[in-house]
Amino acid sequence: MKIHVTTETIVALLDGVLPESEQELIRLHIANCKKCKEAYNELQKLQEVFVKEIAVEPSEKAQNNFNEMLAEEIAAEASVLSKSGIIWLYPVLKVAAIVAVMVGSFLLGKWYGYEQLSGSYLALKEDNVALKTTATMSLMESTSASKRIEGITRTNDFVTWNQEVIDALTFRMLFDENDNVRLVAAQSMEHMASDKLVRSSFIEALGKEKNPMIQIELIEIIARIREKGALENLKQLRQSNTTLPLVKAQIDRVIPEIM
Amino acid sequence: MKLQTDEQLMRQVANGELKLLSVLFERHHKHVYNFIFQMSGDKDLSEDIVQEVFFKILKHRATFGEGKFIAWMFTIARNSLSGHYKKEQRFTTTKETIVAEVVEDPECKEQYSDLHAALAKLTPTDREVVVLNRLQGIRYEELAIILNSTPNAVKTKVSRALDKLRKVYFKQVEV
Repeated sequence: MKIHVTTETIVALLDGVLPESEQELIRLHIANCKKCKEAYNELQKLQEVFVKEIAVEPSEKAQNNFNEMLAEEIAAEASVLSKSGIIWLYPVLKVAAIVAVMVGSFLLGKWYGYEQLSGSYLALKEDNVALKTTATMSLMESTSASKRIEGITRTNDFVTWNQEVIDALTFRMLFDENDNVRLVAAQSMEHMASDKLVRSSFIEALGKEKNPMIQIELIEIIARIREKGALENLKQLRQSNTTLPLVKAQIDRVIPEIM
Repeated sequence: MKLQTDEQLMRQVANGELKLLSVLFERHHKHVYNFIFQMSGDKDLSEDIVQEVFFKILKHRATFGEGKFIAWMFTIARNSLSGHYKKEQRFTTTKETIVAEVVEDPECKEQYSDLHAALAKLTPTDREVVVLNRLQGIRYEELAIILNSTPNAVKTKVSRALDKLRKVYFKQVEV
């Protein structure tokens, strides 16, 4: 069977990036092989076509719209700066709001989780789905991290998730002391990303999480579900001095995908 | 006066010198426009996406990192186009036929070159790498960032796509 020169090699030769030591041999083959010669000639002509291809000009509307948009943004920026007298308050208010949301979500999640849990015991004997849910929930409440992971993993088999399961998983993702449990909880919750509260809990987790590997996983999830609401938190994490360069690089990569 | 690089300009924009974005717009808006036009065959959509890309650059200026501006800008552009198709519910399986139909339409045919018509017959993935690398001059290293791949893998993708384009193009011009 005759061996031919690959397109990649022909392209490299035409681009002038093929090592000199290989050029002579490749040119010799091309000169003596009908198939490779045809590919070489056509790719060379194609390169000329690329050079001759005339760029299409956008209309003046594009330029005018851009000028208008830029002028509006500059005006908006100036208006914000003119209120600089209270600017020092913004970071304080932001921190206060974050703390209030975190504490509120924690208490609400916990209260809601316990309320739901106690109620569901009554239906246990009659309802297999409830039984499965409760068994899973019990595992998630275990003192053993591996049992909690097992409980979380079981939720992947659920066809639908009730609020009880979502709350329990959210709680594990946000507050479990074990890194692996938090990681597995985050991964499992991605299946429920159509739920608005689940999406916002990813943002909350990103704000709390200190383990870089879990931070990267959360960033990946947020990118996959294209959660625009996380942009501000990603920016903050990107600017933080304590964030690892690896995590920052990940943020730089995903932000354009989310935008 | 020494010309400032795209990255230097973008950092100044991120630091509040918003007017400098007009220099970046002047330098690159035609590239974005032509990229979208080669991908979609739709001039109005191309103008809308140029607007959207620079709007996003302006709004999210603080997120510009250490990378190349051009890679960042084209990442935003291709995501904006993909977002547009998602909104229109035209997913990848039908995207290619839409472009081919537009380019082949007798009423519109005159405004497309032979190259554009041949590109329209490739898959969106093949078309995208050829347009970015060969028509917009994006190097393999930057293309790898845009496609979240490696330069070597991108080099192979471009070569394969060029081989397909070569066959389509010369079959078409012979007719």
